[in-house]
Amino acid sequence: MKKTLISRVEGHGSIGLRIKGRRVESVELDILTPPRLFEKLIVGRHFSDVPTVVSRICSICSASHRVVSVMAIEDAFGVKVPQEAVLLRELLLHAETLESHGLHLFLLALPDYYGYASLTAMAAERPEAATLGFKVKGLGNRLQECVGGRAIHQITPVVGGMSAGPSREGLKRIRHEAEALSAEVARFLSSDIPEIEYARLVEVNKSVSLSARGYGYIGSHIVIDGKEKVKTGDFYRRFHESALPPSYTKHTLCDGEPFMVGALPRVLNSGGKLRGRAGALVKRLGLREDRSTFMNNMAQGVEIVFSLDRVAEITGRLIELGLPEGQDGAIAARVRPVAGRGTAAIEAPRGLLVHTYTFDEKGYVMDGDITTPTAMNLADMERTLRSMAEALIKERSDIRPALETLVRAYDPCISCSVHIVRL
Amino acid sequence: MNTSNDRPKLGLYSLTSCSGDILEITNLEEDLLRLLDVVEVVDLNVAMPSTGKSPDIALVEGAVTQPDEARFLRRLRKKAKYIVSIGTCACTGGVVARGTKKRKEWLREVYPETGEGFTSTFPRPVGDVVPVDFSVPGCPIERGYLMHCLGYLLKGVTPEVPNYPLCMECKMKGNECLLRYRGLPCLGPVTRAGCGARQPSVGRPCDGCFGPYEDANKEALVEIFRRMGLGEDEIRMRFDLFWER
Repeated sequence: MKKTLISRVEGHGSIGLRIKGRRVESVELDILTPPRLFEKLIVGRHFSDVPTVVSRICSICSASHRVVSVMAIEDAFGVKVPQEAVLLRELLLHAETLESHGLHLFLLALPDYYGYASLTAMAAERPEAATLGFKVKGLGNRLQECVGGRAIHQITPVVGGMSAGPSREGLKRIRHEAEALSAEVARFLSSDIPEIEYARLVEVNKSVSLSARGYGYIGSHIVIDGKEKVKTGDFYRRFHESALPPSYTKHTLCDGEPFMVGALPRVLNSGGKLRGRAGALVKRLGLREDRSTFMNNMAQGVEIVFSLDRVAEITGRLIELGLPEGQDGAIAARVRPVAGRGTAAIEAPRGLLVHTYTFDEKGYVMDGDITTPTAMNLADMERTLRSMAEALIKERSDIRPALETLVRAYDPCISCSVHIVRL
Repeated sequence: MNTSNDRPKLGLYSLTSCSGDILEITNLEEDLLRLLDVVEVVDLNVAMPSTGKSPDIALVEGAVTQPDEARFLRRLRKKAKYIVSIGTCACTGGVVARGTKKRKEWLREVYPETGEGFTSTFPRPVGDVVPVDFSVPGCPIERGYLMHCLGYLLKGVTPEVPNYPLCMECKMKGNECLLRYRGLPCLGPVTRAGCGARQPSVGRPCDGCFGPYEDANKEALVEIFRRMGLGEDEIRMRFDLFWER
């Protein structure tokens, strides 16, 4: 059984770079995260407690961890989930994307684009960017609370369906806000945001994402480079972990090569399916042709618009359906545990997330494996860091800001603390 | 905004955790601006370098798993007037503080190449390393509960917090009792109130992340679980998610 490092959100990361003269000898990205051993903590537990434990891996992506763990368990037991519950889960994932992208794009990455050293510096001179970020993040949080029962460590997704229905009043308010905000964000992103100075130095090698029916975050197949499809259950056949010397951190590789997951790979693979405001934005930003790794941030912007529009659509449909609210609104299929293994993947805000569990006949966990997007992106981050360091070392003495900006563009779970660069 | 330097100094520190309690503080939104009006944030170790100033109130999230974290706390204790544990990990060790005996073996299995060399220790609550002045439980903490406590601490008074079961809040909300009418093993009767009965309100029994209130009668609830037909192992596991071991 292969294991992966589970990094916590906003932990501490560092880039280690060995340079001899003007030559880059090695690049190593360390995620200095104390191990918490989640894959072991769940062994011996009843399936119904698994989502509660694993959502604690990360506070920003807790909804993704909760939903994908529930789906992996449903895969193991062969549970068919009612359509309304699937719709509510989708709504929850859009809410999480808004919260996460809102925070990352507007509050952590944009200062790099406008050339400010920090968010406070940007907020003082360009308050509109910061305000928009807080609005998007705030809406995402309120929607997670409305659908998931809490903004962090959501409660309602359960094996078989959802344990409660959202309040009608809450959905109505959010629908109006989402409609107005989508236009506002699209307008902002169409304005001329300066390009990152080193944007042309690095590009995507292999893009990996889930294939949904339309554009989306839930699907049953993984797409590699827009062409090849792999069944989610076959993930471990195509994707392998190995410890690449000199680092002992585990790297996930696809056919022996680094690959990228996240907003940009999703747009590169499936952006053609985007319609309306998000589709127009993809064209305007030239995102389907531009493979610069830095465009990941702009792809997040497109997804904010896409998710806001989907939120307006789904909340509209739910209001029409008039489902019962709160405690009385449980929608769940019958669940009977069987011995066996289940795998599920979803698109978390920062990329593909895969959970696998094996159960005994009573539904107690025998084994678990969790592969996070940050772990998948690790090898690619080291690849692009090395090529950027090689290109820049010849022309400038301090390449630290450039390297930090590159790491931030991936939106790793450690994004805001990657300020420790050892040279 | 008030930018004077005589505001009380607040430090926010994250140890081994998901950072959910600090994130919950950023979710205060407009209240956050109001808070920043009355305190000066001198440390936020997840996102900015230290200002070097000593905090009057230090909010610490996460469990202690590294020798570095323990050393850091001992230094902090000398500087800070109040140390407040925020979140269940800091208060009791949290969901990760399980498997006391198996931890070494787990490390070797999960990280075969490196596990042997890790300095990681069993997750301990902050209070096991240094004296803690006050605890704000919850996984994650509740914004309102924290603001309520900060209000007291800023005036130098020990906060008054609910010392009664979650059931009180659940009843006030008009919820149906999940224990009595749906036969679900809810920990509400022995769990400290303060979250507004979040889980029961959306159809899931309380998992007890706030921990017990003083004098909570755990044995009586265990007896109810037995009568509901739960096995001893199932009962043990109900209390094994968030409660202190």
